Amino acid sequence: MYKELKSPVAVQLELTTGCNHKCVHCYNHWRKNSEKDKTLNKEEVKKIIENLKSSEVPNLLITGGEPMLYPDLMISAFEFARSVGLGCSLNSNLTLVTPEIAKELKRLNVGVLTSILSFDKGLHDNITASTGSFNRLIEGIRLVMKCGVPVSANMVVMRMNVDQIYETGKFVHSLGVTGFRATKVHPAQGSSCFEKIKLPPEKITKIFDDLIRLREEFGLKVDSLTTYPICLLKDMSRYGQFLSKRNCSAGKTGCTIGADGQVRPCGHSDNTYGNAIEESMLQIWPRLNEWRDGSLLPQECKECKYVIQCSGGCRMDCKFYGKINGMDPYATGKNFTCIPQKLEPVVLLNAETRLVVNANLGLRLEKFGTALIVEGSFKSIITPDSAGLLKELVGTTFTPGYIASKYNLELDFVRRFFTGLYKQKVVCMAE
Amino acid sequence: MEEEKLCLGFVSMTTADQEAEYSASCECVDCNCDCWCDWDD
Repeated sequence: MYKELKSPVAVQLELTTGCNHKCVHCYNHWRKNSEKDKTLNKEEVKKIIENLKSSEVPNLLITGGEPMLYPDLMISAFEFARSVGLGCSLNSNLTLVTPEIAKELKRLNVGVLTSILSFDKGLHDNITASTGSFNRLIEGIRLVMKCGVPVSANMVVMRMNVDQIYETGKFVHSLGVTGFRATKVHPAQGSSCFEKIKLPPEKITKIFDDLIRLREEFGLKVDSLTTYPICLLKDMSRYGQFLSKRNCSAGKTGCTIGADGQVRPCGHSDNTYGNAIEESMLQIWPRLNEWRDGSLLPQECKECKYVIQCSGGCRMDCKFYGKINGMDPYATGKNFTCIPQKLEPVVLLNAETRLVVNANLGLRLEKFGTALIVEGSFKSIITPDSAGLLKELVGTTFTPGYIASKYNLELDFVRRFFTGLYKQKVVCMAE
Repeated sequence: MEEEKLCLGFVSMTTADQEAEYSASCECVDCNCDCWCDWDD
């Protein structure tokens, strides 16, 4: 179903399993044994980052646990990752950030995704099981924003806060944060309380309806950071915008490395495939093939024409309910009528638009093409001829019309191709 | 002898639809979709 990249294009590194919060919804599978917290040491972190570099992994996200429990380790990890050219970002609850840490994040060009559970202080603190966490979060957001660190907020949506998505987004907007995500809660493997917090299926579309309203009223950049079965949503004309790039990335484009060095397909998973402190990611990555070849999908999903778009939902949700290759708990089955997504017509670049290749473009050779990496972020795969052309064009100014004429290609095709590259920031307008 | 044309285009990461293997647009391509870190604005 999915072709095999030589290695992941984005890796999440769990610096520590420790956390200063005890969120009721935490998906970390080790949460049951939190007395046995594990934290990578500096040497292990260096080995892992060297491994990523030599395996041509372009992007590193540091997560946990809460990475700011070990600020020196976290900053030295970013420092080293940056020095070898990796794109970097951070997941943090921001309750432990100091002015010094914020300045270091700015210096190292690290953006932060943080978590807000409600605009209501009491409910937020209740969900994190940490009194004062809301006030510390807001102080943290203000601090990092003051230092110029890009911040985006994610709200994990569960039964207790599903009716507060709109007000929470509005509150986030009032803080000056421009990106707001609302994401349905997932179970932690072995969790005994998930049934109390899980969202009923009829509430899933409320996430999207509220996000659309927030975007329309406040101009917020909205998204939902997980996959949803299309057979649940059905109306792709309204909800397809949230699914177009949110099919499950586990083992396909990304993976997670735990605080024990073990490689897992995603942060939710407890399946392990090798240790990144001891083995190259180039050796470990092929072992995750079952996440790419469809063998973890139920037959009904394999037969569904929308399976590529929704990935058959979340495999770890299925595992939680007893069968990793079962139907997603929110799936309703392949026999449904889907209202198709209406794609906005693409405004093509003019034939005369003067373009240059982004100076920060990286090319990674794959078995089936060349991966485009812009500023440490994977964009797409192009044909070998396309990669050869981009290499030729580096340092020059060109137009789609010139390319079409020089290589005897259909102009509209070339305009469309460079419009795609422009949208992905692979090429930019010449000054 | 006819000169061989450049094969420009995006390559799909999926094996499901071989007909859509090469495309001039990125709409059929599985873009970066990491569920927790692809949030950059």
